[in-house]
Amino acid sequence: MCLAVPTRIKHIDGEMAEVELDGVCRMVSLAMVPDAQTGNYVLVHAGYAITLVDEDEALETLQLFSALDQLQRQDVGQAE
Amino acid sequence: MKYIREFRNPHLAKPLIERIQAYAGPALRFMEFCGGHTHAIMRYGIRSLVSPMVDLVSGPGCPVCVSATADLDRAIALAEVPGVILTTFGDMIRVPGSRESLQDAKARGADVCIVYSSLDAVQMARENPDRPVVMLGVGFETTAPTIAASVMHAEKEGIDNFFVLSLHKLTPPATRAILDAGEVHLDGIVDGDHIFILGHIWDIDHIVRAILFEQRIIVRPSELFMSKTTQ
Repeated sequence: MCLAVPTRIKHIDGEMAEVELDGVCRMVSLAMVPDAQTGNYVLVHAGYAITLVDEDEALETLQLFSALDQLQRQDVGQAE
Repeated sequence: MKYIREFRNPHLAKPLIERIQAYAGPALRFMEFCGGHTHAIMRYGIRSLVSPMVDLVSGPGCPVCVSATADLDRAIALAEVPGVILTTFGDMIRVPGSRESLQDAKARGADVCIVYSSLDAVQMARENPDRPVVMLGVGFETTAPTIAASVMHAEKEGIDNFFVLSLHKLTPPATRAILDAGEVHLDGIVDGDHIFILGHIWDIDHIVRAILFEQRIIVRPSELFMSKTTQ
């Protein structure tokens, strides 16, 4: 019950929306994210979208993971 | 971008693991907060990957595991009332009460239905207006708002045969008890992002931060390497 997954909004029908993850579609409530738009990614928990997934934030985190890799390569280079 | 595969990229994970394994400071112990984390840590062998310098301990338990036997018995008794449809998340179905589980009650003829969302239970109430539909509301701060929202949803639609047996639990008191007992020294807590997302409703962030001493840290996975949000 505690698993929240990011899904993409396919279309919105009032307070409900159809979301899609890897080809699986289901209806979820947008009651907690009234500003969500079609095409947005939302984090879904127990049938409710609980927040918009911030694409920029996700990308930035991934870029920082990559940057750590570079950092380590520099560390190794200095040690040698 | 689907935000799941990208964060499971082994080429990104490998250097992070190597950095953790190269860590040579004092040993650190973190407690993960969420059963989902415990599951991921076990499934992907993360505990052995980060040992011995990083020790991961599980706590404070999942809301299903820490449900009282008496509460299970109440749920089963409700399911056995003629006409009642008892709806539950799947993970409660096999949890034993003092005599039997909801699954046993279902096998004996009680109308127990597994739902993915409390909205599915509202839908059942809509389709069965002459029968009481009870949602077994079990969960921590993350699940409680979704159950509450379904009550609002049912009220808005004028559905008056939808009920909730609320067995929700708050996590800060459990966390506080663990830390106050003094038996487990923790350097930090790994917390669920969605706990924090819904945390503003419960002021979780404030409470947990107040519990933790200054030298301790809370690690939100998405904040781990984000200077923007950790400042």
